Amino acid sequence: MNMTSQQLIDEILEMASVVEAILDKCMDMKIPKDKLEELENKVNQFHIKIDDDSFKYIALKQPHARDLRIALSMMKINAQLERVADEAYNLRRYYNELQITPSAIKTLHDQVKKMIRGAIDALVTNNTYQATEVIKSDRYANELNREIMKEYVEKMKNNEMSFDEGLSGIRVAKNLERIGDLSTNIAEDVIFIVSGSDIRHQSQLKEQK
Amino acid sequence: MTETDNTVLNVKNLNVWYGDFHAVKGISLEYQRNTISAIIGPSGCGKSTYLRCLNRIHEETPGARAEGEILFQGENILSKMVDPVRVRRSIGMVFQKPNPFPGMSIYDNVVVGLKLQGIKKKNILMEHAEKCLQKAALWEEVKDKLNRPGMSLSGGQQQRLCIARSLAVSPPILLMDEPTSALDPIATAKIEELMSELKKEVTVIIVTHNMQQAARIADNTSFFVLGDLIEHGLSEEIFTNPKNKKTEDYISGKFG
Amino acid sequence: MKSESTLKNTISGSLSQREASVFNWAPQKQDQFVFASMRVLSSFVILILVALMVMLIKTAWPVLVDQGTNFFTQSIWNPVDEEFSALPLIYGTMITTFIAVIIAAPISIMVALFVNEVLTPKLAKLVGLFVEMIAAVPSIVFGLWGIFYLGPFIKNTLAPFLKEHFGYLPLFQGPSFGIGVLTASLILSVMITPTITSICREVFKTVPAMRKEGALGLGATKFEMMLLTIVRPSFSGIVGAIVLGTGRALGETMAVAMVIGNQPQIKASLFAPAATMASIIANEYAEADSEMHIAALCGVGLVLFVLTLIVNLVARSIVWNYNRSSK
Repeated sequence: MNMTSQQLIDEILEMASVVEAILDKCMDMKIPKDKLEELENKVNQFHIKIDDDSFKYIALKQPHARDLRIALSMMKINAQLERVADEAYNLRRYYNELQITPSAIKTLHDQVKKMIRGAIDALVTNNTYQATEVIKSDRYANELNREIMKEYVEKMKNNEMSFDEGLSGIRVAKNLERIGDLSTNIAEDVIFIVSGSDIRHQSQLKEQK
Repeated sequence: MTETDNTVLNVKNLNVWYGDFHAVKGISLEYQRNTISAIIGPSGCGKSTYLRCLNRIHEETPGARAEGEILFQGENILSKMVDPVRVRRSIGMVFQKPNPFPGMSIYDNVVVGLKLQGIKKKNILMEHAEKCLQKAALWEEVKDKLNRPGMSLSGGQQQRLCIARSLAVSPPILLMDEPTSALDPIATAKIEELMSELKKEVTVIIVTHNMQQAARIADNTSFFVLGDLIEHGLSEEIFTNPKNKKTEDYISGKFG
Repeated sequence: MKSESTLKNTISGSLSQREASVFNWAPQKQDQFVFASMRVLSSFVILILVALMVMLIKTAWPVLVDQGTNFFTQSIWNPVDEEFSALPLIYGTMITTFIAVIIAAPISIMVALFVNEVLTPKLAKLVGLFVEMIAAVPSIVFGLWGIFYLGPFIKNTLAPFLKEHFGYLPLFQGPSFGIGVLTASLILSVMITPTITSICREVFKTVPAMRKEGALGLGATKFEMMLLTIVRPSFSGIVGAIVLGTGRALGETMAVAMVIGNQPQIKASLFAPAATMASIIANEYAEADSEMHIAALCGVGLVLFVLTLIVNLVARSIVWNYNRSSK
């Protein structure tokens, strides 16, 4: 077996491009459902393969230091990407219920697309600064989500919107916000690979001004 | 397991005794072309004894007796009717300690096998020498000093010289008996590196007491204990999910 | 006294109080005595060698003064006419030694290889022992064998055979009476074989098994392996063994004296009788009474002495260098 840690990263990048495609197209109703399903299947295949490859890589090549951090992190990023694809794929159903799309949802969509791109870029370029920016921007995503929730709850209270539509809108925002969270996790893993530091659960970073 | 077209060596029920001591107990294994197969196991488990039968060099140990069949190119090379000298020209061996011939230059060491076969023309010998030294990843380091004595090289270089020497006669199979156990980690890494190139031309069977080495370089791994074959299969499987508990214990360092 | 008690309490003080095991002396004195005696004995041994040489030169002085370098270049040895020159004897020693070594060396090397590499360990021990027992046979017994068996054999069988097939060579012309250069050389070759063989065996044993297996692993036959890994690298060791054997042959006296024919002459034929430096001394010392005769014999002894000394030194330095380089 001749796997290297770089090959594991390359596999993740391939998977990431499919996941980003799903995220991009999930709110585009012109694209047929089975196209998205095709992409979702690809992601699942990657999910299985990357875990298996990482496992075998660790067992056979006895990696240490950075190579070991990469192998472990690829397994985690693998899981996170798979959930991003899941969340994106699933929110389509609820998005379909919405009569009008508030700009906030579009903004949130753009924001999380940016975040995931940022996290993946940070992985490619080993850029902890960029990863940190992704983590910081999660605050904005959370704010957008709260705004949307507030707006929809208000509208539902005032009978300006049906419950079905309101709840669907909240659902869409929730999924997008979760995608933002997952991008943050990926960014934390990138920082672990590059610096060896585990910065999770450190609140200072997230609430920095 | 049935023999496929890709099988290059087929060991059937090999038993070896040293006097009364039953060192190898009825082992059967098949080897595919262009693969690296490793044999691991605790000391005294018969791995070297087994390997040495494959080119009949066990006959040099007084009191050694082998029974069974080893099928290579259609014949049983263990049979008394087969000349061991002929077997060893097709099944080469690299030993534990580097053993270049003293008093001979680097060049002489590489071509000695060819000269034994009667090849005398200088340009042919030189061509072979260069090719084999390149395959052994030694050419760059020695090309300007081919006339220096073989013993003047470092341990790792000497071992690569021995590999080049064995390759010179173009054997389809190369046996390696703990080839890096006497070398430092850097020399070991260099030799492990060249193995993946080597297997494109040769089938390698390597005995190693270092199972991490087997995990790193071997396509297939066999696990021996006290002369018995406990398990064999793809390294990928043996090191991630072995079927036999003994294998699991050995690999997790619980014994041996 | 106070100083005495403080002395007892120091370590050296307590040592000198200890009972010495030899002569009840203190340990330092014991050491001094032993080393002094060793020095005396060693000097004694060296002195003997020097004294020997001095005695030889002194006794040989008359003939050296009388003949000068002619002693070594003329070829008449005639006690009756008091004409003495060592050349025929030097020739006799050289030719018998030379032929003995030419015959014994290849045989010894092959025997050493055979015993070490081909025989099973048990047989090797046995055969090796037999070969070494040859060295234990007294020289005079070889002489008897030479007179009563080898001599007649050469006269009746070997000489006619050689004459028939190689008679055109001056080496094999002339009558054979059973005694002579050829007989002496053959006996010498038997006598020096154990020397060469056992040293070769020791030298060959130093080749590690893995190196031999390395050669076999390349597809060498057993004989090719022996040449490649044993004979070729051990070359200087083998040379050393041969030179040591030569040293033995040079000085061998009794057996040679009995079969060489005691005729100081230089002839081309191997069947001719001759005399060696050692044999002439053995054969003539009892009857030599003139001062010149005795001086001549001592002169020959001196030449022999110096020659064997040189050969032995050369052999030792070869073997010593070989041992150093093979480490």
